[in-house]
Amino acid sequence: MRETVRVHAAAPMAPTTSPVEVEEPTFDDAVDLDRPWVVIVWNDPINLMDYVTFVFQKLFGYSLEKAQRLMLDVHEKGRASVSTGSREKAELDVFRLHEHGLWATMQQD
Amino acid sequence: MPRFFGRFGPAGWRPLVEPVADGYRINLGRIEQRVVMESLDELRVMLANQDPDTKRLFPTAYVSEPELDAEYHRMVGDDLLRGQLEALDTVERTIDGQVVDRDELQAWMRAINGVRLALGTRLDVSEDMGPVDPDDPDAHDRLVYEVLTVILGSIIAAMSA
Repeated sequence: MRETVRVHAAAPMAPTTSPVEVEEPTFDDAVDLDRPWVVIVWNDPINLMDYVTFVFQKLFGYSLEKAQRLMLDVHEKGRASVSTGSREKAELDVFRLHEHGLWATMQQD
Repeated sequence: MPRFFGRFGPAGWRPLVEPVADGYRINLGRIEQRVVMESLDELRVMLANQDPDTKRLFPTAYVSEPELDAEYHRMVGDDLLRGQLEALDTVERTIDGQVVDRDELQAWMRAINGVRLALGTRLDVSEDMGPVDPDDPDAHDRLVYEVLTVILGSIIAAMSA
């Protein structure tokens, strides 16, 4: 995954004497478009380990080994990133995980 | 998340869900069938009443962007609900010792896990729950939960075979 530049709206700006207002959020939004979204699955006390492994294989086509590794990350570390991509792709992945009852969220990297 | 230990039984033990030539045979006994049917009915009622214990079936997608999350739920909330209700229909239609295809078994998986999510939320389950205490006021629901867990484990084992 390539590096992306992070620009925060709250970052201090150089003082300007110009009376013209600068629309900072536009600049920020433009940068946001390039930052991938990450889909995260969180540990929960209900979903079975074998079930979570099965769902990762089914939805993402991951090998058994990769699906088990991700499942164990969720189990032991409390969360794991299971996919990345555009906001639309991440939202679709989150939806499919929700259809299977997994506790999935998405956030920008 | 809990580990499922019920995959292997004693010699001659018949799995609750068994891969056969033309699909998967559901081998639930009468008591297990009744437990499943009653728990599906209960989930239907909980969903119709928007019971707070069903919130795990409609999880938050955007943790720190409430507006985006509200938009997400406006967009997919009905689909999540409809899919769950269709899964309940499929189980009710095929409960009685039938051979089901893979799509139908996936509906079983969704229906059973949906009930576990709602029931597990109500029972506030933890990963390592001890055996069910018969004096526990939640003993009945705990037993139902355990039965559903065994059925789900058998479904996963059959589909992974």
